[in-house]
Amino acid sequence: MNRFLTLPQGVKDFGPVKAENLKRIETVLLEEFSYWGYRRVITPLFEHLDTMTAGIGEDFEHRLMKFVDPHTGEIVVLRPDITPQIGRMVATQLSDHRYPLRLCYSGRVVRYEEKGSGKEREVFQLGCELLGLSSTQGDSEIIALALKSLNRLGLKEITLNLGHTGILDAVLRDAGEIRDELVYALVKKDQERIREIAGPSGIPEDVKEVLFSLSDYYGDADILRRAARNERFKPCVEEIISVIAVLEEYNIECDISVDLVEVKGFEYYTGVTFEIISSATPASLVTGGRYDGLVSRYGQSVPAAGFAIDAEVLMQHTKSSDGENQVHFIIVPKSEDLRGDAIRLAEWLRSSSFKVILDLDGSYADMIDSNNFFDGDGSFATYGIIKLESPSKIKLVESRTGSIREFSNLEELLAGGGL
Amino acid sequence: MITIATPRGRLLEETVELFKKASMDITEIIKDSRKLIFESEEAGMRLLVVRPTDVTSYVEYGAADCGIVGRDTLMEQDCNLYEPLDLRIGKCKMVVAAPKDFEKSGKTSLRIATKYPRIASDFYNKKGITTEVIKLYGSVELAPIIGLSDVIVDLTASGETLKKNNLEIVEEVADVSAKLVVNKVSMKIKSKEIKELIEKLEEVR
Repeated sequence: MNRFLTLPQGVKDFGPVKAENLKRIETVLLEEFSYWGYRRVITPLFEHLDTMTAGIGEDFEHRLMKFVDPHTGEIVVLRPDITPQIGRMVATQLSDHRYPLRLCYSGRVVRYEEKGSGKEREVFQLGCELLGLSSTQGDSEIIALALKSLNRLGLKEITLNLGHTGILDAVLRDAGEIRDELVYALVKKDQERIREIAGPSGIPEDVKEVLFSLSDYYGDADILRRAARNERFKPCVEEIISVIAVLEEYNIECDISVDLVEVKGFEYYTGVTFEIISSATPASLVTGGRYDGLVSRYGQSVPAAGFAIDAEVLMQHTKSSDGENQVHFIIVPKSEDLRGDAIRLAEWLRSSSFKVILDLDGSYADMIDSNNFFDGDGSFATYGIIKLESPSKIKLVESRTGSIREFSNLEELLAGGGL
Repeated sequence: MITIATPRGRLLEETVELFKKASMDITEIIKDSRKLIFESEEAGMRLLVVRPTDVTSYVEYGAADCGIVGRDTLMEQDCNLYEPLDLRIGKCKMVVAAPKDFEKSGKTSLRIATKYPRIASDFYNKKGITTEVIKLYGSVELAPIIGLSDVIVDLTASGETLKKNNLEIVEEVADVSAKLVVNKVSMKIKSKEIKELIEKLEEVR
């Protein structure tokens, strides 16, 4: 195919059905967020490179979509994540607000993924941020809100995976020059390699204990009891336990698993982290956690926790809303002089929340006359076709039954047509 | 029930042996080479027989929970997977080989024929040698003989094929063996079953 007709790797178009589904998901989620007192903010599509890397960390820089701003010659970046933007916004513009501050957003982010990885570069994200609260109460609300939001969309059989940055922080703090190799082995959960590298290193013994029995630190919720035996990491484990206790009060039903040694994508997390997953997809539905250090990178120290939902992954899991957005009526004026009546009728129906197409070029008129128009599924208009034949002859053809009713003027149709 | 993607060919027999040692009988799977899915209620697992280089795709996209795959493939593909266990089967070496008269020293650039372009260029780029990599899909040994490349980067178990084609090992790149890989979501959802599998295999490998 011609190159100018193809799209770059990792981006795509959405036809009406997908676009409507995505919109529905967005509407339901934003509504749920608002029920919890989270107010929507909108942040820019691109920012200065430095502003962004201050938030997400230098390690992520090679995965950004960068370009030069033709006006200033400065390097700018398409946002890879909205959370740092909100951090910046809170620190610089909303600093006089009363905490805790509850904010939410809906928008697209762009990431550079390796070619052929099959991953999307453009991600539809919705998320919430709870700023100014450092307790596990804050973590619990954020996690409960994420789970309840998915429930609202009818999602079942999901698993909440809880984690904590505490253990990895301790491991990597003393890792020295083996840090990168160790991170790589931890990402792979490659126990033998970890033992090989960490064995001779200067990592404290009680931290090594974790590394050498790595599989005791991920698995189902039972591992929390075992993990709590390590005195150094007991506080981390207790934070997770207290979050689970609050979730029980919310009466949330979902499987819970734990991974205390998972390396997270963004380095700004500082406490309890979580992920909501489903066996039906390899990508996470939701990721989130505590990020107490992020806002201070923009000049104000504010503890915070939040999450982001991947709306497109969610879409694969929820029932599609086919038909919800189909046209209800088609109005077909037989001749030019009936246009005024047709417009008046269309406007009246639209004001009553019906979806109405006005036949502009007679294309529907031709189809009505052919027999195969009504195949019973109302695929053209779910309720019917209104044919204006003359000012005193109006036909309503019902899509469902194919039956035809006649009216002698518009008023009669509006009053008695049962519309 | 967990689904495991196993590579067809040489490694499959060793896999069956290993599983047998761990009291999981899957010998059925090598009896009919046309059958691609094998299910064992008893062992609580389903096996998919796929091309060795496809194992990672099956596991990464969640079509299988676990997979058995050579370290060569993992090095070449850089997958988003857990690699918790070296199974110590399918052992061989990734080497650089060249005709007997090849002068190793003083080279600043090399033309390499290989099935593993990424491994080959990474290996030499680290040494500061520029590479021109020619990706081949088979009969790699032929390339230096007829002057298509200076050297090859390929797997060798016994070195027989190299010898027959008058090639010598110039350098060793890595030891290769098969690893158990696990899908990241499966590890969190079916952690009990998967950890059990890892433990069983770790004991007998």
